[in-house]
Amino acid sequence: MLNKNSTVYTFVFATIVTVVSGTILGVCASALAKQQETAAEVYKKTKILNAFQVVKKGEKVDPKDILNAFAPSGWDSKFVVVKACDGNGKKLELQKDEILGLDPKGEIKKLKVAHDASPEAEAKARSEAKLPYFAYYDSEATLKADKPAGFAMPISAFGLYSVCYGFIAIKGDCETVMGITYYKDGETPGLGANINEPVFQDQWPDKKKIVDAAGHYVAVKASKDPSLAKDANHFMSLSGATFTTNGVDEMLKDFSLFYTPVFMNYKGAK
Amino acid sequence: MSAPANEGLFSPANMKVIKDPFIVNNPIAVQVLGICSALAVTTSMKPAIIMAVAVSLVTGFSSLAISMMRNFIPSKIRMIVELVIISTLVIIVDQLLKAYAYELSAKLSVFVGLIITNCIVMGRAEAFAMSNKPWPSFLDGFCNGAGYGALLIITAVFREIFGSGKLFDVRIIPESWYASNGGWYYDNGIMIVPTGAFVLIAVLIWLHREYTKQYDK
Repeated sequence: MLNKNSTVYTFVFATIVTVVSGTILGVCASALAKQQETAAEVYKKTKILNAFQVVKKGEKVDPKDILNAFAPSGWDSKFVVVKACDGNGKKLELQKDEILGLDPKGEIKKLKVAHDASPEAEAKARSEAKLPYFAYYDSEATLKADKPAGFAMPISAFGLYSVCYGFIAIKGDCETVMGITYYKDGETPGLGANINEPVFQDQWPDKKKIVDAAGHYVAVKASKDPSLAKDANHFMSLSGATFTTNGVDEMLKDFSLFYTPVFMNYKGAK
Repeated sequence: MSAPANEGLFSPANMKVIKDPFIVNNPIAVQVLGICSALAVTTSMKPAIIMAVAVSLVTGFSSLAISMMRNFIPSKIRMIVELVIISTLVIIVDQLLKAYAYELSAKLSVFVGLIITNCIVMGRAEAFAMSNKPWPSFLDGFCNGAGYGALLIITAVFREIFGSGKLFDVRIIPESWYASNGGWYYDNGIMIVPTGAFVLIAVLIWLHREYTKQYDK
């Protein structure tokens, strides 16, 4: 009869339990890896289309259509093309896979460090930066003429618990916000996580602008004053979520500082 | 609580194991366990249902596995072994959600992982599975998860309707009633914050105690 409380038995038992559970988890992770990758890709691309208001929040769309919108074939004459520019808004000729492999958060961080250091360092960092973005075309004609109906740029900043990752979409007029969406955050449900809810989302489409009354590019800022928050250059702070609101504020400031040259270039080309 | 040996699948003793977690010994209303996640995932129906299913499956299968191993587990590392089994099952549920319900997985965020620390799961393993046969242990675990889930769903019904005017994301309160559209109605903001869930769960516990009268005895 085995002594269940002997050290040898305990050690062997613990080893067997660990190996068996590790094997089960390993097999499970390998078997589901591809499906998880596809689900994450569809989710992220749906969020981009949400920002463009092409797909409404909660609308059921075939995942194949979502993926097609980002492919050369398009989806119902809608095309989303991934592009990249440097910190001066100059288009970069990079392969699609290369652009998708870029780290926008890391690129923005480098630009911020240079921005805080000196004008010379910032100029150098801007010329070396590789910033990805998505251009949305609402027909084959606009695709051929390279006249996007909108642009979506990745935005990110630390909220309360973790980095929030999302997209801000700007109309083809290079001024009006089409929408903001988040695909990854660890904020408090009911408070900071309201960045995903209508209370925060509904205040953006066609209501906010990234230019002021004089036509200068500005960052849209948070406001606790409801009357000021109705202004095109402010948004309403989230109640009970100061850290998340500060994060949104910061990501919009970074977006304004480093992505607006793209719009200046498009406007200049018109 | 223990089920007698040599019972049929749905014998009176097993039926008691099935029924008790819903009313007489509800994990939330009586044992006041699993409150943290109950506050967090009940703002709407979909995450509440997914959480209810996930906890029921994890509690059911962890109790089953622990019961099957109960005669071999060294008492010195009993709780560590229970935790390894529970963690394995929770990670599998999390992986499945990421593969087949990514949006809900994102919405539930850390709370799926935190099922590991849910006192109900470990509680049933210690209190029932370690001293009962596999089938009653599975029933006890699954039904305790379902009893917890039932209260989550009741809370979510009220929170989604009064917090956002919807149920399963379908509008229940007409848009025309809202003050922003010239009507008189406002969504109740407290329902979408954890405070609202606290109040609702307190009311449910009060109603439960009035109904069962088990604390008057």
